[in-house]
Amino acid sequence: MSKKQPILLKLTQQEIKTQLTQPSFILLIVLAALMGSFVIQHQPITDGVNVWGPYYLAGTVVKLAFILPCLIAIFATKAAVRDVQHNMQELIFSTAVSKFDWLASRWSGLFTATALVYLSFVLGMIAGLHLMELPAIDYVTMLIGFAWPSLLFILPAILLAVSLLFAIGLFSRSSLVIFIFAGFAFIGYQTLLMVTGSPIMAKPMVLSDTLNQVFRLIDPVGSSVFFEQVKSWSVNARNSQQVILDTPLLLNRALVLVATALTIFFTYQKFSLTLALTKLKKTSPAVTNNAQPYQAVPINLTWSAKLAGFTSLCRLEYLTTIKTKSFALVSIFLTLVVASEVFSGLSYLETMGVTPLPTTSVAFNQFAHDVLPNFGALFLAFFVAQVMWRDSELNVACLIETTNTSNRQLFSAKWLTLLLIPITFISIAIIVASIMQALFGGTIEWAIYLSAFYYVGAPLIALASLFLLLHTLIPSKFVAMGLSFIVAVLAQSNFGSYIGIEHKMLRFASTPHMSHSQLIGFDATATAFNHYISFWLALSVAFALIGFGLFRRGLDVTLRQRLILSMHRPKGHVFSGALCLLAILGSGAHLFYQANIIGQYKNSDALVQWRVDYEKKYIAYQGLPQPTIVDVNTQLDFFPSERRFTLSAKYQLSNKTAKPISQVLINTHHLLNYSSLTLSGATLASHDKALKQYLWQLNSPMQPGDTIALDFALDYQQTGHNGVIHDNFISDKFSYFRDLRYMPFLGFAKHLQIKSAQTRKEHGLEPLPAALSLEQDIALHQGDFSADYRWASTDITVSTIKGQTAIAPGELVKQWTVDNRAYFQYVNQQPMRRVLAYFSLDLVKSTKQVDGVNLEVYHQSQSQDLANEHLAAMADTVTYANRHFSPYPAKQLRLIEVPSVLGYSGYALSQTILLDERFGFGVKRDNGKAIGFDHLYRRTVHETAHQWWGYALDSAMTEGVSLLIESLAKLTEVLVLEKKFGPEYVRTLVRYEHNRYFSGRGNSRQQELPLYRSGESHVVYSKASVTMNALVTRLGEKALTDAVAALIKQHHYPQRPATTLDFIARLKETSEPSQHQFIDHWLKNVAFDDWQITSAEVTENKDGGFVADVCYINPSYVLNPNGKKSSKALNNPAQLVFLSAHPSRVFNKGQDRRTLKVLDIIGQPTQQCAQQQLTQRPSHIAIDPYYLTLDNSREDNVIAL
Amino acid sequence: MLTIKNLSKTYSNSVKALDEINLSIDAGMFGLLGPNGAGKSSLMRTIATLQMPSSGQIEFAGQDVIANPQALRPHLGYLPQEFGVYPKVSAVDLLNHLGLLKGLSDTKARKRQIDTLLALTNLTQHSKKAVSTYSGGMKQRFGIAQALLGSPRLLIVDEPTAGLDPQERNRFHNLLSDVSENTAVILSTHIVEDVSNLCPNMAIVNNGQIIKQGRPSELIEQVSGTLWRKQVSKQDIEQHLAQYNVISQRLVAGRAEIHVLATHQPSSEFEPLTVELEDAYFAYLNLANKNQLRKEA
Repeated sequence: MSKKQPILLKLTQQEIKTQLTQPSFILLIVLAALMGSFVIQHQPITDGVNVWGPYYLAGTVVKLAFILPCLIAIFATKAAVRDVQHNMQELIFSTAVSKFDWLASRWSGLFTATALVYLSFVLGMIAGLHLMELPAIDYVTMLIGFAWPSLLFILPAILLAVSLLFAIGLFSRSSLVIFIFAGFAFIGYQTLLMVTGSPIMAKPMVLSDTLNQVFRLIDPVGSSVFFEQVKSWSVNARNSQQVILDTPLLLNRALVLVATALTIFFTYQKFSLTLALTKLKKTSPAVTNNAQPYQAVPINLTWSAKLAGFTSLCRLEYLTTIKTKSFALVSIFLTLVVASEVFSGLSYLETMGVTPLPTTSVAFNQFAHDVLPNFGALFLAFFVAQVMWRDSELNVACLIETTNTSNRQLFSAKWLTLLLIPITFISIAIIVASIMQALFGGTIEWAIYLSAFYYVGAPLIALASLFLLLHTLIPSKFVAMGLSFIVAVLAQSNFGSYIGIEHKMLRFASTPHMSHSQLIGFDATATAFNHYISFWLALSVAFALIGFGLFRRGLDVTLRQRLILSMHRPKGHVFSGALCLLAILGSGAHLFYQANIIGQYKNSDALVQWRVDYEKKYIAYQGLPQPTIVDVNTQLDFFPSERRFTLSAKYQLSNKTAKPISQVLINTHHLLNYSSLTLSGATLASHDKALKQYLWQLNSPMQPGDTIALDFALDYQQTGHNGVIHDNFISDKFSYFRDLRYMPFLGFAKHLQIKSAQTRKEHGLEPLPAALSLEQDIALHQGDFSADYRWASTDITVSTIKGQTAIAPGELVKQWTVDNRAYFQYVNQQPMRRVLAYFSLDLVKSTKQVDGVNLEVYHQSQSQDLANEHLAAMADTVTYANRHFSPYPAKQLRLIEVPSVLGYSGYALSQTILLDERFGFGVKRDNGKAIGFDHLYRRTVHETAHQWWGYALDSAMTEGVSLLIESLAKLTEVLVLEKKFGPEYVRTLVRYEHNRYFSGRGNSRQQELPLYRSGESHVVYSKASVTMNALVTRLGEKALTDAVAALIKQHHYPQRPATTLDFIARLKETSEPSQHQFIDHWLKNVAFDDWQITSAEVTENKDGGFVADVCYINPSYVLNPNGKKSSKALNNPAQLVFLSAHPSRVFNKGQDRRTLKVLDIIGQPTQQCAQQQLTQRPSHIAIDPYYLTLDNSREDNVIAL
Repeated sequence: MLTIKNLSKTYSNSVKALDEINLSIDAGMFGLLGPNGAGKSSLMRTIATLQMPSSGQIEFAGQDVIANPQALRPHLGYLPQEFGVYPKVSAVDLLNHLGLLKGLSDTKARKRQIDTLLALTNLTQHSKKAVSTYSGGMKQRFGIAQALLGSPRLLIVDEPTAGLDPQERNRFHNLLSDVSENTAVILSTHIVEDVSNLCPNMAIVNNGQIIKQGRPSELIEQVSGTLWRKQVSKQDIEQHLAQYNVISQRLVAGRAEIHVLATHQPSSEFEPLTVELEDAYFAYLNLANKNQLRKEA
């Protein structure tokens, strides 16, 4: 040992030096620091939470730990494979170095390099925090905030990844295998994060609770345990509390360390300092030569001979590319990724076990939307390098390039091979996806799959040509490959926006993302895609021509020499070049015209500047009395095939203020082209063409109650070149225009003001006044928000092509056809909330009458069964609401299937409901019954309920408005679902919403407000569900329905709009005084219970009965307005339930036969006990098993007997 | 057939590999002798159109090869000193591929020639195996086979016998001899014996220059009477190296023998040397190096 240590030390020092002096280390150190600084400065900041506090710091390092495998792979190659790469094994392994010294030194160098890069990342974060000029950083807290999660999460993750990748490198002796494994780890970890609902991922989902539990055990970083632990942290806790090593985290960390130790042990045991020769090269024995004498064979210089040579070149280039270990690994990788993506797409539509119909559309979108383009581009960058440098790297170029093959043949063969690579990727994806779809029982639509060759393949082919050019121009394979990767990332992501590259025309091969819709096919962006890809393909042909001109044939041929040689090319190349240039200019100009002129493209800076200019110029008009639109008469003509409509309108404006009006400021949207706009009895004082503002001077002031007419006409052309806009969409089969943002707006548009304080400061705008609380706003408005009403009577005529149905809100009073165009006139005699939507549809209509209301569902013909289900849900809701809330005011209610590109899952407009084609009409059923939770029924109930909550009751636009819209729709869900499915079914929903609420809290960036003031979705939807269920259970259905019915009655237009305080007041009127504290607890507090059963015992009586003795406590607490926890006895009631099975088993659709007895208890922080006589021995006792309280820690709520 | 005029090549790292080379080569074997780094391979690669010269001309059958490399390629057979192959591609497939690239579009004729070449290079029984798995000697034989595909009028072979056992080497010499009847064969080597046995014409290359060219017998004749030999003890070698113009030294029966270039017998202990091509080669190298030193001085 005494001799060994110095050798090990010296070897380790040498190894560390080797790692630390390689260029990639220096590059990574710099990049890590920059990334640390960037990440911390661009962290989304939660109100009141310190960005230097332990929560943010731990969260940031944990979130980014998924990069570790890729980072370590770079160093692992150096540590484990460099002897193989440089053919040094025989020299090294024949020295006296011991296995331990060699392995330990190599491992140490690898670990040190990785740790230093991580340290650089942390230092970058610290520098970033310093640059942010934060008011008061507590550096001790900050340093501990870095050190503790680094020790707890990152160090074990690094140890495991270093050991694994080192071992893989040693045993595979291949850097490629290391990188592929790292890639697998990178993707695999992210996939697991996604399917276990990690908040790190953009689209998290929970596939299975069991999977979540297993992942929490084995998560190498521990992020899942981290987010589970911090999800209920308050703002104060986020600023002061460190992650604690609780049992789940301890178990997880211990398992990771054990896995590391086992990997190291296995490596040491199995590795030996020997060569990996598995077979000896054979030499032919000397044989007697009886061969024919050599005879020359004349060569053929005809076209057919050239074609045969070219074919052979293509064949060999392609086969040599795909018959490699790297291509096999990439193919396996793609197969796994596509299979997992398609599997998750086909097995998950929504939470609680809802699955989609296994359509080709679903499978296609899972891989063609992002997975294949993104990975395809990266892999392509790698394989282009292989193809372009293979001949010289293998030293076979000297054989090939001295043959009679022309440059044209050599180059074209390489180019064609590069084009075949993406086609191979796509073929793999299609085969995998179609097999998966078939396994799920879907009907394969080959035309959709085959379209991937165009929509995914064409951009990749364009990229391949650019990569080819880079490799032709740049004399270093790795520099060219690095640049190719950068181009690929810029093309396929939005990273370019950080350096000002926003326009798609500046991102080579960037096209609109193509998603397939069962409803509209690819219509949303197909035309735009064609234009973009024409431009890119024209450019790529030019790149190929340049690449051909500068093709590197032979050795030591400089770019200059190649340039000189290219000048002597035949004239045909000039002609090809000219044609190509013409194609580039033509397609580029057309694309620019479509995107920038017709599409009126503006980058983010220009959009901000527009709003800044608007505010600076027109803020003076804020507060100026303006008339109100009281009557709308519109004609809108859709031209679906041209993606265009024209609109002419006459608005009646009324002065509803108490003051005379002498000027009217009219704001028009920049996307619409107004051909005329006139105001009766007024003179145009100014027309600001840049900002599209009209200022009218009334000839004589408009007195209170006076009316004038506003006439205007406009046209709108949509191209899809700048993406899909969620509220206006025109295509062959489906057109939709919601006028909310687009019609003339009277007065200064406050909604156009920039909200970001930082951006306002940068542009010299005054800070906005602090947001008012509900009570302050009510005081300011003296309790009357009527001025915000946007109601009007309407008379709308919509026309479209013959064969399509045009729809607008109101009763269809007239329908006619002229010149192959169909006209539909819709009228609302009574004023309605003025958010008007127009449609032109090529869909089937199903109808049902209920309470005199005509229910209509517009859907694809194959969705008849689901349409009937929607009609039933609408009928149930309308019936219930008519009985309990208020009569539905119109004669029709329409539900329309809309394409997924709009991004709505469900959206309610007045008299119209939009339902996404997937969530509403792509849901898999089992013999007409729901699989998993019936979200289809629930969602339709919810959106139908908005006809009351949002339209019948148009509430005050102030804090808490979301309660009166969304939370009351959740109340309706609870009530109608219970009628339809029974209370057990509602419990399942409430349990889900309870957990979703706590999960939402963990991800929230705001200080939580009580329900009556909140606007956060996890509060107004999820907490609201639990709240409404608790209120219905405790107060009774009638108290709730009477309260909301009174609310509508007292606050319906034109009466003053309701606030949440009005709702609470009505609720208190319809409930017992003893229940008022309970109402306040749910609606006006942010309060939590923490029920715990401390002991439970069941004894048998002599008469055969049982006596249960249970003791429990409830150390409940509330959050103060500053976010601090405050212990408080809530005196909240809960149910003590005696069960014949674990409470988790009561959550099913069947009738609950497992609840033996329910006892109401009141929680106290001190221990309380209860005794209950039972006729049957319970197996479990639980507090609040039906989720009537908010208790995040429920493990101790149940006791098994 | 092949005429090289004032051919120079300076690499991008400023190394001058060829310096005003002038050669004229007709059908038959032409030996190119020179020490390692003399510029033989650079010359071969340049003639084989693999690299552009810095200046000078190469003409093949009256065609300017530098301006139009494609004029030579159909008639070229080339065996580089070092070459690689595609992984997992068998000898027969690779020969087939190279044959097609050379313009052997007649499937039957191509197959017949490939079979013949495989037999001539003793690779028939390994023809289905991947060339990348071949031993050094087998791979070199494959290289010979591919160079002979088609009907080359100019065959350039750079160190062709490296790695071949004596039997294979003899077989290859016979093959080259057959081919050279109608073909110009440039044999680049540092094995003097190969040139001596095969080439009626030759040139010696040193420091990128042709320092001597002609028939081997002429080259021998020109230095006859100026070369002397003496057996010395090992401890006396240093002294003799300093005292005489030693062009080479070798061991003969365990004793050192030095060969000295001198117009007159250096001393009575020296005996006249029966000049062989190798001695002439060393003598010309010696003279060239001295001239170089004189120029630099």
